Amino acid sequence: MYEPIIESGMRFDNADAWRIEKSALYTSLQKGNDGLKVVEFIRVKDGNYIFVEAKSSFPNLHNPDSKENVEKNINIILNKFVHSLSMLSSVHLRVNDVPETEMPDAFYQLSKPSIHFVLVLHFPEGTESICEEIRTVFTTKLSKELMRIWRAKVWVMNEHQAQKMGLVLTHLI
Amino acid sequence: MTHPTCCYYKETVLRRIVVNDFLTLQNGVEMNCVPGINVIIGENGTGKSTLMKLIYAVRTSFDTEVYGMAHGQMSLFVPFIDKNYDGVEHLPLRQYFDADDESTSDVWLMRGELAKGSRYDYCREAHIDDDKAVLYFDVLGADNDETHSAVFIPEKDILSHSKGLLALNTKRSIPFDKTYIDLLSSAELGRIREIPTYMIDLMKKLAQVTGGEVVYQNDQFYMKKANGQLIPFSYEASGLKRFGLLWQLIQNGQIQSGNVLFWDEPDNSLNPMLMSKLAEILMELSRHQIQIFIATHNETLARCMALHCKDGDSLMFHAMYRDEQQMIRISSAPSFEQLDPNSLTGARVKLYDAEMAKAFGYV
Repeated sequence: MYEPIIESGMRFDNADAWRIEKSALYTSLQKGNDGLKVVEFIRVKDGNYIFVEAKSSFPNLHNPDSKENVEKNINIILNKFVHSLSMLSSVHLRVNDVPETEMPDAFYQLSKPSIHFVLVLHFPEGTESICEEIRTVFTTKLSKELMRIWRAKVWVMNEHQAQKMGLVLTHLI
Repeated sequence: MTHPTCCYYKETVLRRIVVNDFLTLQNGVEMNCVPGINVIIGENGTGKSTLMKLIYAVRTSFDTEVYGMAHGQMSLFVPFIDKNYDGVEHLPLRQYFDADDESTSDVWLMRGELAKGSRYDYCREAHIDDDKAVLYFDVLGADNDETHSAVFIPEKDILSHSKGLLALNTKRSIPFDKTYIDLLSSAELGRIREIPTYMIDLMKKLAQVTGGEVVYQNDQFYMKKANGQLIPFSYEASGLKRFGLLWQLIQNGQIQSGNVLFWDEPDNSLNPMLMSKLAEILMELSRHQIQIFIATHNETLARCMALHCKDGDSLMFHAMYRDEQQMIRISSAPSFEQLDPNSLTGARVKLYDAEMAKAFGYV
């Protein structure tokens, strides 16, 4: 039975998705290490690895009082992206194992994939314009070396945009 | 402490502008202005420059004889009057003026408190006759004695082309955009005897950006760098010329308390790194009772304005757009984020959507 991934009030398409946050590997690695955080799930789609984090709130970029909170949120989410990429790499390098049934076959079949870090926001103020502004901040904070090594791109989108990109489901299946 | 020019400022500040049927501006285009900075945005062809030129033309006509003013300001709209320019310039203005003619346009420049006085106490009308393609002005009210100076900085540099231009214009009355001639005439003026302290501070900030001061000699403008080197304006970096021009207009008193500054695309040729400095300086000018209107296509500059806006400053964003009937409209908001429609963020979001679609294979 097809079960979408429900996160932050949105229904995500789970085709070729590895729910890294619920994985046995994450559970075992996280023991005794509160600093290890990962995204909700990773999807293989159209030759891309898409790391998806969903949030139902985000501090106001334009409020000077929120500056610290914005930085804190961005750092947490960036760490989630980076840690998730590391975990996925560790599996492909056979440093760590995951059960065969946990990670979709598509994860082993990609050749020269593109890496996309995606934050999907779901709250009334999350307009396309705000998403683009948040994305600009993410881009400046993300390690240039990491982006160069992995040719990674970061995107911030709202539910509507995520639907257009085929990440969030629009209708009941 | 109240600024000594405060009263004068309150009386001369433009509060509301209504334009009816003037070129692209039709059927009651209305803008409520703030005494500080008014940032006008909009897609190409929505009338930003036209509106600013029109306000400038009428504004500067307050201290001019009506015939002379009409003669002088006609060339502001040279593309529209070029055909008839030679035939019109010597004719008495009133020969063409008919207040009851339905084909004419109205431009009301409301000054001071809107509640006070009737519309005719505070207005002047500008008319354009479509058949003859000539711009007319006439005086209404009793405000002729007051001086209401304004500076209009067009989008392109003119100081690099100063040599002989004003002399040629005087001799031949060339049909050249009057805003450029006006600006050149203003920039040529010498340093005023006593520059207010706050303006000296601003000039220092400007000189820090340009690395020198503007010098006018032999009919030409130069940038005199800190090491004494004289660089002709035509060789100076385009972005730095913008700051140099501002320095020159402050030091010769063309920009001072009580004046209005109109600046068409101040961001032209300006590196984004300098936008914040420009916004900071413009905000500082506005705090000294200089009302400012700028038209821009640059989101960075618009946002920098908001960034440098402090408590007590007045800043208003105006979006010029076409409604469903293709009529020009203006919507205003005190913050850039609240402005709707917003062609600048709209373009950015559209580009972002396209980038995203390409990355995810949805092109």
